[in-house]
This record gives sequence, structure tokens and C-alpha cells, in this order.
Amino acid sequence: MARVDTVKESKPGPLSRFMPDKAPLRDEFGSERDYAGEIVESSTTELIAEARELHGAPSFGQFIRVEVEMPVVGIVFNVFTHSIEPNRRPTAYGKTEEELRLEQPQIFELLRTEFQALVIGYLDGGAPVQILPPQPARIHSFVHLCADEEIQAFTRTDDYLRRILNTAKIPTDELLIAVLRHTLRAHAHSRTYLVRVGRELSRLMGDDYDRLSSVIRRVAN
Amino acid sequence: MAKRKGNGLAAAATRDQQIGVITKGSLVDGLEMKLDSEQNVEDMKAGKFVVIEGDKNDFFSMVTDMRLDANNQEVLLHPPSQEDELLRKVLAGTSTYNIVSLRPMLMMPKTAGEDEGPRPVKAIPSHFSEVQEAMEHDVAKIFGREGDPEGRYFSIGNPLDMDTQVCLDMIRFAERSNGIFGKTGTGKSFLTRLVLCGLIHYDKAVNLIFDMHNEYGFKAMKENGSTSTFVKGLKQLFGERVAIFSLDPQSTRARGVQADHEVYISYDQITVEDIAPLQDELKLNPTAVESAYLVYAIYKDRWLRTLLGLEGPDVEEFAREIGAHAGSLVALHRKLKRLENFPFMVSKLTDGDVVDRIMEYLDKGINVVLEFGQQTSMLCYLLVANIIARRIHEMYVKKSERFYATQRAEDQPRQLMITIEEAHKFLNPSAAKQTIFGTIAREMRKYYVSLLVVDQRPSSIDDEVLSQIGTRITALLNDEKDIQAVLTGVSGTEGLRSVLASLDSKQQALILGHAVPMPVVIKTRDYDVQFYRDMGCLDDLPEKERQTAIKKGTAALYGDN
Amino acid sequence: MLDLYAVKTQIDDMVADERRVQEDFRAVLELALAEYRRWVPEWEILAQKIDKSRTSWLLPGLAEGLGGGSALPERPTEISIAATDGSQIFPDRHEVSSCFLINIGYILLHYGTGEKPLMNSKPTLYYREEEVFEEWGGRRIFINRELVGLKRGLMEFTELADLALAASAEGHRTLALSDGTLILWNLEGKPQDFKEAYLKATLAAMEGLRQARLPVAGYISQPGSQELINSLKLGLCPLEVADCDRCPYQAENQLGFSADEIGVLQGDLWCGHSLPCSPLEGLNDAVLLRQVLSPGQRTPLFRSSSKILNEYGPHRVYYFYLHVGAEIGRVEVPEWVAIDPELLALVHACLCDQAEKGEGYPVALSEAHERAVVRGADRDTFYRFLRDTFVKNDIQTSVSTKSFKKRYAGI
Repeated sequence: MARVDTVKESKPGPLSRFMPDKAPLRDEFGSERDYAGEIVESSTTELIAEARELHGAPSFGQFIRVEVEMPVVGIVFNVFTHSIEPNRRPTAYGKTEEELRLEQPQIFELLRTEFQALVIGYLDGGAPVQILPPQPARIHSFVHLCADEEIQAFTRTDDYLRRILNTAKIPTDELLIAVLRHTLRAHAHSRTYLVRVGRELSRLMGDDYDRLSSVIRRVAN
Repeated sequence: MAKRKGNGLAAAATRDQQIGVITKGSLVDGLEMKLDSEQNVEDMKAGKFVVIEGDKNDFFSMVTDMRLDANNQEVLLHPPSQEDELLRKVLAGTSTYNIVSLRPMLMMPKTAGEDEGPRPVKAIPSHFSEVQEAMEHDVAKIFGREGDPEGRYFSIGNPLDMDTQVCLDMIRFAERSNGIFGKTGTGKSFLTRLVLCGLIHYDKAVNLIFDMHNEYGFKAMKENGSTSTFVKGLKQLFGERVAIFSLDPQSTRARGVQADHEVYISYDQITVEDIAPLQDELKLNPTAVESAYLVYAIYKDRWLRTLLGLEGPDVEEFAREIGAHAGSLVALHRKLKRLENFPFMVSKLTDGDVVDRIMEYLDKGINVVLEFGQQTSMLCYLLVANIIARRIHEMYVKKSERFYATQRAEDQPRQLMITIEEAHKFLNPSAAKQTIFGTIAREMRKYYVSLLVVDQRPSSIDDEVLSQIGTRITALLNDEKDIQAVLTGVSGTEGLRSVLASLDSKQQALILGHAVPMPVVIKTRDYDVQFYRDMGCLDDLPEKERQTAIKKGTAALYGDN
Repeated sequence: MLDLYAVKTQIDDMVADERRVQEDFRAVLELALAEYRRWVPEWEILAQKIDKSRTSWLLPGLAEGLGGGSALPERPTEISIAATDGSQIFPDRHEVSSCFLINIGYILLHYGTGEKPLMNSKPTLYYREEEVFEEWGGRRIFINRELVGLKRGLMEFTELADLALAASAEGHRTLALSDGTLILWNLEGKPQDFKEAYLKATLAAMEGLRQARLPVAGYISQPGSQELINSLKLGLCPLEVADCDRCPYQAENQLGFSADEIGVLQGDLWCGHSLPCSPLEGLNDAVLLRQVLSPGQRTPLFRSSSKILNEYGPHRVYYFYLHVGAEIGRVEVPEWVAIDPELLALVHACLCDQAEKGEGYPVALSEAHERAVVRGADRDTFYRFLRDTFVKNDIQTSVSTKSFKKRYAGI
């Protein structure tokens, strides 16, 4: 199994002439370059990034940061793996992934994992701003996972929650729960923090008491 | 966070205990505060002292009411389960919240200097002004602090949940008649003793105390749950500055005290005016009193002696002689016969007039406690208090008039405060017009005599008298009429009413009126060893120091002669 | 308006005809099968006849005889398959530039190791004067579609060889798969210098593989070739030694026969067919072999007799048919693979495996095609991009000095 999982980073050899041109970039930085993905679609409110590795997207609700001059901060709300060729759909092989890796290696080259993130703010000189950034992140910028300290710093206030709640066409409550489970961990599972966020949600959700209690319950356990 | 001009005032100390923000209200009806979600509503006791930080003024206010509220009926229909503590915490302050009613009592400009005091409230703070827990300096600013050079401030206790003094302004306190109210068992006599200590210690008035239950002079029972202990009486605390007069020397002795004077009253000292207020106790009808006046018209001072000297069948004869209604005179005679049973009633005084003696003491600034010993009947109390107070008052009127004539400082009488218990017996609407106490209460300070009224049924006291009561110290009252009576003549009573009804039954009191700038609920000062020492009782000091201190004190009291 | 009634009668006719054709076809197939079985034990006789005869059609060299299929050998667990494919954008005289583009798709799939496969494509743009004009046989010609196609084919093969060699150099046991035939029959009739240049390049690549002992195979899907059928036709020929140029049964060669005789001959002997070999007309090898081979089996090796192979030296092409499951495919290998049983078994095993993985068509080849293909939309994008870049760089004049007449719609 180990052999299947490790993707060898090939050194320049006779085959390198046949490799994609962007391959050397990856070699140059090696595994030190720990970005999670690269932006392939970007707008003020959302961005889509291609994961560096198949099935290697950040998890749902994870905080990400785009390395640009004013780093854009977002939360992953959708991860999808699909065929890169529009007219070729993956079909069932009836084999385990390991068997497929050994005997149908090409299919993994035809799949891409992409993730969509909801932009919730940016960093201005390192200071978190929970407002949409003045400029969207650039295409091909690298997307990094936020460390717990960064999440904690960014979620010192709770204004971004309104942004999540007011965004249509996302699984709002599920995202909220996933995001809060991340932030709660970043805040060292502090009860005070949980209560604070709960109160903010209570304000935002207003009349929807059932929804509030459902969200709170699922975040807490 | 208080934003204060940094002018080096004590008040520059910031308050940092925000408990909520003002959300609505009016000058007339008081203000409403939304309690911060972190605060526990159970800490917001009625009577709590808080400060609203307006833009320009600090408003010193009292908590008068609290209310649980929810913006969503759904929450109330499906309350979070008992185990779901998190959800309950989350809802607290958002979906469910607490409203606390506040009554601003005083305001103080933030720019005020050290010597400026608080002013009456003429404005209200703006929306969302922060409400802070009051700090020690706030309380001190309003109520002053014990130990001022004038000896003006006497600490009577602490505000609720605070560890700082609330002081009575003793000068203002002595100027007017005052009341101490509270239903039975709430510590009225304890409060009274405390106030008396203050008056004596700071020498703002000399006291004449009609001590019906022998609670003030020497030792008193301290009710402390099941166990009872003795606490020091005024005599023990102030020694020679207090004299004990006793109507029942045997009883007084039995309690281990030697009375300074035994009190005897001769029949000649009793006037019809002294009898009139006893109508209720003696069940006299008005014609009986009129008959008494007829007797008096003929026999003057000897009227009672004469009347009581008659034997049953002679009374009717006597009535015919003086032209009185026979039936009423017979009734009068029969009822007054009860007076003969009092041991202190004598036909002839052997040791001079006790009232003169009392006056002598009072003139020297020695406080007089008149113990009734076993003579605890209301009839006895009313009779004796009336006789003595009337005579003392007459003397004070003369002294005052002389002072007004000469305007010499040495002629100025000492301010006298007469303490009476069961005051409604003297001051109920019918009695108030007949007893000397009604007169004293109405005259105010004109003749340097005022009352300290101790009572459990303030509603029975004549409204006119009540309205003259300067400072009211009120322990728990349940009866709605009593509450209303205590608050007569006070604005914004709605809030205080709830405060009054929710006091603890021990060691808590609401003070309002002349001697405090604003109504305040206090936890009363402990009456303990520390207090004795503060009052100058030196029993615990080494002998030599004690003697020196006593000598010094005596010299100060009597002058060098 | 369509007269459906009229169409219906015609459809009925068509169906009837179709059925007749199918029935005829079944009869022909039965015949071919019978003939094939007849020759299996006596293949040497047929082989001799093949050697001696001169036919107008290609005949296979029966290198391994005839007969049932060879069973499917086992594929080594670890094997890498290299494949290339190419596609192009042909030069268009009406476009801004008469350049052309060749896109080669590279595939290197590693089996049994889980190693990341190489799947890539590289385009090459040809625009220099010496690239768009070629001089062959003393004539300077502007490059045309045929030349581009040939150039692409050559590149596919040389790049395949390079890829396989590179993979081998990195330690992979590699099989090179080429899409289509290894026989450069389309060079026949080309100017000598052109033919030589292309052959030389191809054979040089082949030689490189041979020296590295890297097997290479060309796979032809749905082959229409009829060489085996041709040999059966030869077997039907009554003559001892067939010589089609002098076929006595051909109308134009019927010098010694009367028209009646011919009629009799045709009518009686050959069941109404014009020639003795005619009954097997219209059949191809694959159709026949589907009846003979089981899935996974291959035919014996045949030696191709294409004329161009005379110039292949040690790389003469052999072929066999392979039942890959979904179809009968034709596999071509150079001689040095054909005579090396290990390499031959490897080719056999890998191709079956590849076809199975690719649901009928070798997966490496179809992936190579996917990489290489330039679709219509890509082509349009390419030209738009080209025009934009030209305009942006204001180099129209320099283009016009090259005396290319451009006519393109203004944008």
C-alpha cells in the first residue's frame, strides 16, 4: 500500500523531456512548498482552487489563506473531484483503489480535485479584516491552510458568520457547523468562545430557534 | 470603561464592572437596563446601588425591579432541556434577556470638582449608556465618609453587596424628626440603638429615650437565631454621658444595673392633657374627658388626687356638685383608679420632681434612658411618656424663647431628640392632636426638640406627622399600607415600594430622607467589638490609657469647671 | 413532403436485399473456414505455392505455419507501456501565417508499481521558411497536408522510440506501442530522396530499440487486411502456380478459350463466379479469424510481403492477429521481436491486457490519442491567438514580405 501512496518526485532524468513544463517548478521547491492548491477561478466572493494532489483538498469548513499582497481568507464550502476532460466520465471498474493504482494508473491523471472557498475577509498588514477584499485573489496564486493561530486571530470577532448565513447556494448550516468546529479547536475548545459564537448566531438567526439549537448542538458535541 | 477627565480627583478611579446598558426609560418612570449576558440576574438585588455613566453626568441609581424577557415565543414554548446548559447560556442575553429597572436618584456632572456634591436628577442618560457597579468612591462622594472634622458623617452600614460605608449626615438627622420602621423582628431596636450611638458619639443631639422594653440602657438581648447573646447598652458604651432613670428600680436592679434615678410621679403632675391621649387605652368616651376638665376647673393641680380620693358612691354626689354628667364621671373615676396600681404613682414626691432632674441632665448633655422595667403596659408607657415629654417640651419652649430673646450663644438650647416606641399610639390621627408628641412633630425644629419615632405600623401614624418625618430608616415591611405610609412624600415611590418589600428580614434597611442625599438600601453596620471601640468604649484598652482617655473625655464634656 | 408510403416499400426492398447479402456472406464465410481448415495440416503445400506464385494481391509469409491460436501468455506484473500519437493543424494559406503545428501525445503507463504515469503532450509549431518549403526530387514545394501527415507519422514513431528508451534508461521494463502499421507503404511512389530520408529516420529509431531490446509493436484496430484470405484464394486457384497477370480465367486473358467455354466454366465450376478465386471476395482476415481464435489467442506469425519492407533490413515486419476480446486486432512487430519468443510473448500479453483495460482498444494508445488530439475548437483558438499576437506586435508587413497571400476575414 505504501508504494501506492507515495508519489515519487522524479529527478530530472531522460524522461524529463516528456514531462509537462510546469513539473520543474514543483521540483525546485520540493515538498517544502506546502500549499494546498492553486487558484483556477477567482472572484470577489468565491474562489476555486485545484488541489495540489488528487483527493488532497482541505476539508470542508477549513480556513484557507491565499498568498497575495493582501492575503485573502476564505472557508472551503465545496470539494469536488471530476474528470478533466468534459467528454470523459469516470465509470465504475469494480476494483479497489489500490488495484486501480496498479493496473489503471492513467485514470488518476484524468481526475482533478478542486475546492471552492467562500471569501470571508482578508489580512491588511497582518490584521484580520472581516470584509470582502478590495481585489480578488489572482488566478494561480497558491492557497494555504490556515494554522490554528491564524484561525484564532481571524475569528477574534464573529462578523464573518453573517457572511456565511447570507450566502445563497451553499449548505449554510452544515458549513457553519464545520467552520465552527474548526474555530472551536483553534480556540482550544473554550466554552466562553462557544457561548460567544452561539450568542452571535442567536442574534443572526433571530426567530429560527430550532435551527439555532440544532447548529449549537452539533458544533458542541 | 469610564471616560473621565483626569483632574486628579478621587473619582478619577475608573469603574470597570459594567453590568448592562440603558435601553429605555423616562425621567418620571425610571430607566430600563438590559443586563449584560455575562451577568447573573440573581446578583441584581433590589436596592443595589449602580452608576449610569452618561455622556456628561454620572447617574447614581438604585435597582428597583428585574424582569425576564424573550424575543421569541418559540424559545419559551420549547425551553432548552435542563442538561443543555450550553444552549441556555447561548440564549441568555440574545433570545432571552433580563431587564433591570433602575431609579436614578442623583446625578453628578463628570466635570464636577471635589467639593461639589451630587444634584437631584433633572436629566436622563442617553441610549446605551453604560451601567456600572458603584465603586467605593461613588458611595463616599454621595454619602460622605466617617471621620470628617465636623463629625458629621456616621456610618450606618454598607450598600448591598459592597464593602463601603453609607453614612448618615448626623447634623441633618438631628435637625428633624425621624422614623425607624419595620415589622416585628426586623431589627428596629437594633437600628435605633445604632442611630442613638451615632447621635451620642458625635454629640449632635441629646437624647431622651422612653425605653419601653429596657433595650437601650444597659445590656440588651441580641437575637441571633436560636441563641441569644447580650450586647452592650448605651450606658456601657458611653458611661457617664448616659443616665438611666427607672420606673421600676427593682426590675432594673434585677438586671444588674443601678439606676441613676428612680422615677416617681405624683398625682398632681398629671394633667387632663395627659389623660386625654389615653382615651383608647382606658376606653374613655369624650364626655369623660370633658368631665375631667370640669374637675380640673375647680381643683386645678389637685384634680386627680381629689377625684381618686373619692369612694365609689360619692362620685355621683361629686358630679352633681360640680355639675358634671354623673355617668361619665363615674366611668372616668373607675378607669383612672387603675393608675393607683402603678408603683411609681405617689401622692407626694420625696426626692424632688423627676422631670426637673431629667432636664438637669439634658442641660448637661447627658442622655437619659427611661426604663420601664416590668411596667410594660401600654397605658403606663403612654402616660409616663406623655407626662414627661410634655413637661420637658414646656421647658424647652421657655429656653428657646429666652434664646430667641437674648440671642446669646450660651442660651441656645441643646438639640433634644426624644425616642418613642410604639409611636402610632401617640401619633395616630386622633391621638396626634392631643399628645405632646404630635405637637413636637409638627413644630419641627423651632423649639430644638425632635422625635425619633420607632414603630411597626407606620400606616397608623397621622399623615401630617409622617410628612414631617425627615429621615426614614425602614426595615422590611409587608403591609401595603405601611409601605405606602413610609413612602409618603417621596417621589418615584414605585421603584422603592418593590425594594422595600424585598428587603431581608435581618440587617437590611432602606434609608431615605433628609439625612441621606438619595434613598439607599444598606446592610446595617455590625454591632460588635469593633463598633464599641469606634464609639469610644475603651473597656478593652489597658487601664492607664483608658483612664487618660476618660479624663480627657470628661473634661471635654463638662468644660473646665 | 416525404412520402412515407413510398419509402416504406423501398425499406422493405432494402431489408430483403440485406438479408440476401447476409445469407450470401455466411456462405462465403463457411467456405473460407472450410478452406482454412483444409490447409492447416497441409500448410507447407500452401506455403510453397505462395512462394512460387505471383499474385496481384499481398500474400503472407507463413513463418509459423497455419493453425489454431497460441494461448495468452502471462503478463509480467511490472511493465511500462509507452505510446505516442500525433495530430496536427494543417497549414492554411488563407490564414495569417502558413505555419503548421504538430502535437504529439506521450503516454508512459507503469503497471504493478503504482508509480505516477506520464501523460503529456507537446506541440511544435513549424513556421520557418525551410520548414514550410521542402525540396524533394529536385522540386521545391510548399508543404501540403500529405507531407504534414507523413511528417507527423514519422515523429510519432521516433518520439515513441525516444520515450521508450528514456523509460528504459530510468529502469522501467518498457514496451513501445505504435498506433497503426509499422509498414511505411505510403512512402512508395514518393521521390527517392524523400523516401530514403523518412525510412532512414524510422529505421534508425527502430535500430535504437533493437539494440536496447525494447519490443515495439504496431496495433491496427479493425484491420481490413485480407492477406490470409488471399492465401486461401490462392489455394482455390486451380493452377499449380498462380500468376494473376496471366490468369487464364480473366476475360482479357482468355486467349485460348471460347466464350462458351468460359460460360460453362463460370457457370459450372465456380458457381457463377467470374474467377476460381472469386468466392472468397469481400472477406477479410479478421472476419475469418473471429471464427478461429478464442479471446486472448493469437494467430501464428506471418511475414508481411510489402515491397517497402525490402528496405527494412533487420526490421522486416511480421504480424499476427490477436483476439483481444472486443475485436480481432492486427499486431505488427519487427523481425527481431518476432524471432525473440520472450519479446513476442510480452507483446502478446501486453496488448491483450491493454485492450482489456481500454475496453477493446489498447488504453495507452487511446490515452495518447486523447493527449494528442487537436479539436476544431482548439484549432480556432490557435488561429485567434495567432492573429491577436500578430496584431498586437504589428508584424503584418513582415509577413507580407514573404509573399504569402493572406485572405482572412477582418476582425
